[in-house]
Amino acid sequence: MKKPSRPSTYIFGIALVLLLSAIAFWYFQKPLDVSKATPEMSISAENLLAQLKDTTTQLTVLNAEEVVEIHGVIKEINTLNGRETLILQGGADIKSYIICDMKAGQTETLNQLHEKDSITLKGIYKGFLKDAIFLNCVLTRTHQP
Amino acid sequence: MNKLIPILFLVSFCVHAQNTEKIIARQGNVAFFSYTSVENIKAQNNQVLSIIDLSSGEIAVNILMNAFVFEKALMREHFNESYIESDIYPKATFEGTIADFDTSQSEPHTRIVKGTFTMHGVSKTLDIKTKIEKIDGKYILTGTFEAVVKDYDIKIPPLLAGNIAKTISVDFRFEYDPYDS
Repeated sequence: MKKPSRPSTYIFGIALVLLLSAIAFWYFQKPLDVSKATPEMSISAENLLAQLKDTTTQLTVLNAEEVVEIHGVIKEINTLNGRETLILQGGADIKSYIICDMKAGQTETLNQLHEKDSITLKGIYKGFLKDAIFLNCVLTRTHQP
Repeated sequence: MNKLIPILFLVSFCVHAQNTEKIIARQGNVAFFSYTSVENIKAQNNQVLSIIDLSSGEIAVNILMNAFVFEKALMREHFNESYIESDIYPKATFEGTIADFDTSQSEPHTRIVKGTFTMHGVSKTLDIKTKIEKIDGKYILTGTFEAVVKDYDIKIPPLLAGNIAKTISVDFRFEYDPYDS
């Protein structure tokens, strides 16, 4: 005669499946898709750098890992370290820049950009050293003359 | 002879001005590797800041810890939240001096950079063998050193101890431009 299953076996089985699913989700989770993310703020490069350099506002203006939309003028486009990087000017009196490490898959668009072009991009803020660092940047608009 | 004096003075001034220059790398590359039989972990940071004072050979490096890029999101999460605690210790720094630094040397050469590396709130003195090159007037510094995880008070949970190497290999490459203050 077949022995009836104990409820504790079912509970254990369900808990195990849930646990494995959670681990699999956690392990294979994809990073945030910046192109679809709503930015915490939309700001000009000059304004952002002025606030980050000001000791009274630098700690409150932005938190690390926040998505930010920035408008600015291209100072430089480079592929140093095998990464596509876009550097935005900070303004006439500001010797700091916005360094944007671009998300992969934008080579064609980047090839059409030039120094002094005005653009808008979104990226994840990482922090401020001498420049503001953004990763996973995506171009949202170009305003070529 | 009298005409030569101002020229010599100008040359000497130019040499001095060049020697007091600072140079900056805004997109320095620092990569670390952890090899174990269970898992290999590597991460790269391409926005490391470094400044060298050419007159004194002093060098400073500043690294944003949360700007390291990993293959998997989970590795990045563990690194920032559990091991490095980048919200509490957001930066790692190195301050040191390049021994016998000679700006007149144009051939690639190797020097020892001695200084203090601070990570996770712990400072250690390091001697790092560094290759110095000057290509198209730009200084390029490359090298490798090893960091013992335990030295920096980084606690690895026993369950994950097999996944993280006890000694992490760190590679760096800095390409310097003139410093525009």
